[in-house]
Amino acid sequence: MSKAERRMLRHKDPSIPESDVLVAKALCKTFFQGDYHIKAVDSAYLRVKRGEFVSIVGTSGSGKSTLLHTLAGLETPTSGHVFLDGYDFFSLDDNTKSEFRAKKIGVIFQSFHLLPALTAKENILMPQKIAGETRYPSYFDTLTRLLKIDDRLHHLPSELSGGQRQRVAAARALINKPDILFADEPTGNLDRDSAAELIELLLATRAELGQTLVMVTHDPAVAARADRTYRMENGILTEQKHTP
Amino acid sequence: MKRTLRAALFYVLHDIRSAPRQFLSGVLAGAAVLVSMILMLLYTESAWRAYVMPDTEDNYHFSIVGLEYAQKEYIASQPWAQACWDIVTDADAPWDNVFRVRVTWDEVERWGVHAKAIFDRFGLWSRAPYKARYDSAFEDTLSKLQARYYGAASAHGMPLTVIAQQGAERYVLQSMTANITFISDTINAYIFQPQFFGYMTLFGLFFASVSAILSHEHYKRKIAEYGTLRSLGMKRRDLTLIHVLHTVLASIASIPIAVPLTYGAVKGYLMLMQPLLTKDAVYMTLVDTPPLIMIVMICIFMTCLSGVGAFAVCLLYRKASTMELLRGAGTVDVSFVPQTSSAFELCPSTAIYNRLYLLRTRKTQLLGIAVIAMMMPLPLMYLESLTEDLFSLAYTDILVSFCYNLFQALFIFITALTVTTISSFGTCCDRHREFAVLRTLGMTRARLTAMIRTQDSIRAAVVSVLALLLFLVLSDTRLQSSAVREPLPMSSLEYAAKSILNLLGAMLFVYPSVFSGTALSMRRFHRGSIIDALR
Repeated sequence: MSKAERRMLRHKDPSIPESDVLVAKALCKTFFQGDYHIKAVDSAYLRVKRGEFVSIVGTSGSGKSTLLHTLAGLETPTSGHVFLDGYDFFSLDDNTKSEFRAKKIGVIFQSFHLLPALTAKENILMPQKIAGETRYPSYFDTLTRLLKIDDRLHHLPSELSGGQRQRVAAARALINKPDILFADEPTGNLDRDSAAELIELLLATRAELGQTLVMVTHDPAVAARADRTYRMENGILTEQKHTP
Repeated sequence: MKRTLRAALFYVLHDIRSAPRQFLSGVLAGAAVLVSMILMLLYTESAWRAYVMPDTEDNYHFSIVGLEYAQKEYIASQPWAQACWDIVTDADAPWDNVFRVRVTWDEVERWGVHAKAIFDRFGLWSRAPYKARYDSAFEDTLSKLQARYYGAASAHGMPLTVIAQQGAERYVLQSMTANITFISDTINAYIFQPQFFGYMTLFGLFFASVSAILSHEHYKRKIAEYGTLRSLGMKRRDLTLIHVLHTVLASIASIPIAVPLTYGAVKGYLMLMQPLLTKDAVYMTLVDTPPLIMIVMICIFMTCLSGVGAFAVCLLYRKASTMELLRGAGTVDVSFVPQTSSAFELCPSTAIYNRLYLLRTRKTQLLGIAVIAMMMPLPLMYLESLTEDLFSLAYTDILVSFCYNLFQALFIFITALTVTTISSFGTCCDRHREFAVLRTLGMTRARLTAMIRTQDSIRAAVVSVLALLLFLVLSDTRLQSSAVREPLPMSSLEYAAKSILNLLGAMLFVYPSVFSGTALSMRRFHRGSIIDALR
């Protein structure tokens, strides 16, 4: 075992089984603005198994996106822990966190967040540059064909519609075939047919690669397709029972 | 109109209250531009002022010994001679028959030229008491030149004897004819030269361009807000009023910072230099007290120009629709992109992103580069004086001049650095969202910082070249009419060494200017969370 691997092991919690790819323990996120404290996430507990599809629903302003960003390692929690693949994510150094983001995590943002100076194709391929390897060279063609953006690849984000940008963002998140995919209302800007196609693609990818999918959604139909659903209300996360 | 103005003022004041740091950075940048402008004008105007003298016996520009009556009459009849008189000397004075000359206001920079013309006309170089000093200076200069040019007969296309002759003439004029002991407390009240207004306009337009670019950056940051106001029914002219008012207020707020700084700088280096000046009796082109009327004129002029610049920025966007303004937020001006870069697929690393970004956003980059390049000529001018002094130190003791130029160079560099740091800080902060996206895709902090440093290095190289070119163009327009001031021509080696020194000096000024703002911005970025930056 190398020195780096030994150092990594220090951050692994042996009590978390291998089957649990994502675990949140007593997760809190509070925003401080002058005299105001806004508790966006209040002591959240969550456990997601490998290959599971988990949806998070709730009203606007309930803290779902904040929770998702914290689970994805993008927002530092005020307290609590997030374990990704058994590793206490926020205790890792920046290089290791970045490696996780490059190779194991994919994020589809609600606001797309595409790089404005790159074309759609370049945006999709950028994660490969950052990871330093072209892992799945033919996957690009499959993805763009399935997402129906193959005729808009040479356009800048400013020249794409909201739906097209959303699909480019989805392709970018999927290109490295990440172990866990976090999606923040990925169908928010899509029409019904495109939304259904995207969900089908995400589920198909999940089935094919054993990916884990954590999705924030307003759409009850999408939430109903999840293996498990959590509800977020005023920062408190509770698991919902599925009604068939 | 009154109601519109009141409403616009209310909005602007509220905006300033809600984002005081942004306003303060604009004020500091304005103050720095104003200080540079005032000092530059003081520098050019002081050259005339220091030579301007009242009508007293002790105030003259040059004196000549041993002239005949007809020769004195000739000098007195010249249009450039303001006053001439004979001096009755003491019995133990080295010379009698001393004829003093004071030139007119317009010719103060050219007294040396006129003195030399008189010497040439009447053949005074070969007459007592000048001959001995001339011959000795000629021999001394010739031997130094021969040593410098390794026994060659000529340099730069001129025979060494001719160069030595010119050097000897300068030496005689400086040491035997020039009046080097001014009585500072008798220097006249300030009189504006006609050239002052010309220079004020020229420099004003130069610095107003800097101000306009900064105003443009501010507009781009507010573009979504302006789009929202338009969507709520605000007229274009009201929006223009808001933007112009914001810029003018920042300009006015910068005056109480700039003026004391300028007075402080002038007084500061006068205090430092005075003991040395008195000791060496070297005449320097220093301003005793900058006249208030001049400062007021410049402040009003620059405030008006900043308003005009802000108005010009609004004109640029006058045809943009409301949606275009709303969409303008968070986008960059990307130049025509025909296809996805084939190099992108082939290049394995993220270095390709640097290249594509710089190429595709070159319009925006050029503006940022222009701001830095335009603030550099003034520090470079003082740097050039410093390097000339460095070379001359080997032959003459002009430590005073060196210190003077060093003080000025450092002070004016700090003001230039303020503008460039604020500009590059703002430009880098505008890219935080882009950086956050790269971080979400797995780019490490170190790699991101290295990427930004590479971009900055490229920008700094371009700025250095531009700044040097600007400086060369501007320095050619400086007045260099006094024959006494003309330096000896340099050997190729010396010229190359001086050019390298100037280039290194330029980089010494340019690199911190480019890197400082970016470094501060990246520090701010790394301190916050990725999601904060994405918001």
